[in-house]
Amino acid sequence: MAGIVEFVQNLDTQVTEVAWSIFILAWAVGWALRGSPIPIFRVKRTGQDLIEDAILAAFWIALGTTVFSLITYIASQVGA
Amino acid sequence: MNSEYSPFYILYIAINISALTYVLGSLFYGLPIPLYGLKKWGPKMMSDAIYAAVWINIYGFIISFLNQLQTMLGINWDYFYNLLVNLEVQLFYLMTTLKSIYYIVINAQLSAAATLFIPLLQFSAFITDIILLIQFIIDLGIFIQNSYMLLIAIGVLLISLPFRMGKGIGGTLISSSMVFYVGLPYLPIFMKNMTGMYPQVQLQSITINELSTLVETIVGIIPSLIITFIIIPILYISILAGLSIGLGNTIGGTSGRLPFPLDLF
Repeated sequence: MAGIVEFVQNLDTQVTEVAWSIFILAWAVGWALRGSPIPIFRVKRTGQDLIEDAILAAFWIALGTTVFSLITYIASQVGA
Repeated sequence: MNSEYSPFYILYIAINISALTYVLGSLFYGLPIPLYGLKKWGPKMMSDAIYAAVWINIYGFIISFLNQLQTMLGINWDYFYNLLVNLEVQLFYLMTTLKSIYYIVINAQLSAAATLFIPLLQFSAFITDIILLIQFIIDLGIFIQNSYMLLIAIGVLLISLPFRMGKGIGGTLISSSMVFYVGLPYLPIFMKNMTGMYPQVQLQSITINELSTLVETIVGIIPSLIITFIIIPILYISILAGLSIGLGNTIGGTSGRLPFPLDLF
């Protein structure tokens, strides 16, 4: 049973890393689309949407991981 | 109980899993693929994870609230067990009396009493049915009283799984544990209220004095026994099950649960 917590925590860390990488990717792709020299408004609009989503996602990742790791830390101290 | 399987350990796993759900949700949120069907999982899973985290953190409050609710209703498990075991003892006593009469009659080889054999056997079989039902209710009570904390913790764990995998079943598990833990000890009082007297009094009123009126006594007492010991408990457990389904929908349903929106775009 002790393995489950470690497994899930490792999964947490890995998924957080992937999420940050994807934020950077989405940010880059968004700016690439927005700044692309293509006079198609829909493409530029998609880029704008991607940037907005990426920023919101980054905000929620930062906030969420902080709060959840705080709760997990407290729970591990209480449960130990 | 093994300490590794304690409710708080399960909650510790659950908070880790809900963190995973949250991070997965934010990953979907920031995905650079403009597919709405995929991206809508982002805010959904994030709010699910927050919801599960709220459940994990109010777990202790819920347990004490359930006990407080029981105290407010003026019931406890000791009362429940006392009353039902007492009823069982009375029923055993009644069955022993019936069997004794049966053996006396059969050994005496009274041809006049031959018509009593079948009603006596049927009635004692019926009493056995009632004893089994009451024993089932007692066992259910023991199970719920011993494991309601674990069941609620497992329900919270199921709620915290990503992609809403265990949402419905987790909510049902939590709600049925809560409803039965508070509601089941109330059964003896419900039986008393529905029949107007304590079931023991009803059993004590069965007196078998004369063989000639035995069949009439049995026939007269059966309907009230069926109502008190079979219909009313089944009705009460059905009411509790209905309440559990309603509460389960409230806890694990898909309707909006966070008072603030996460998807700000």
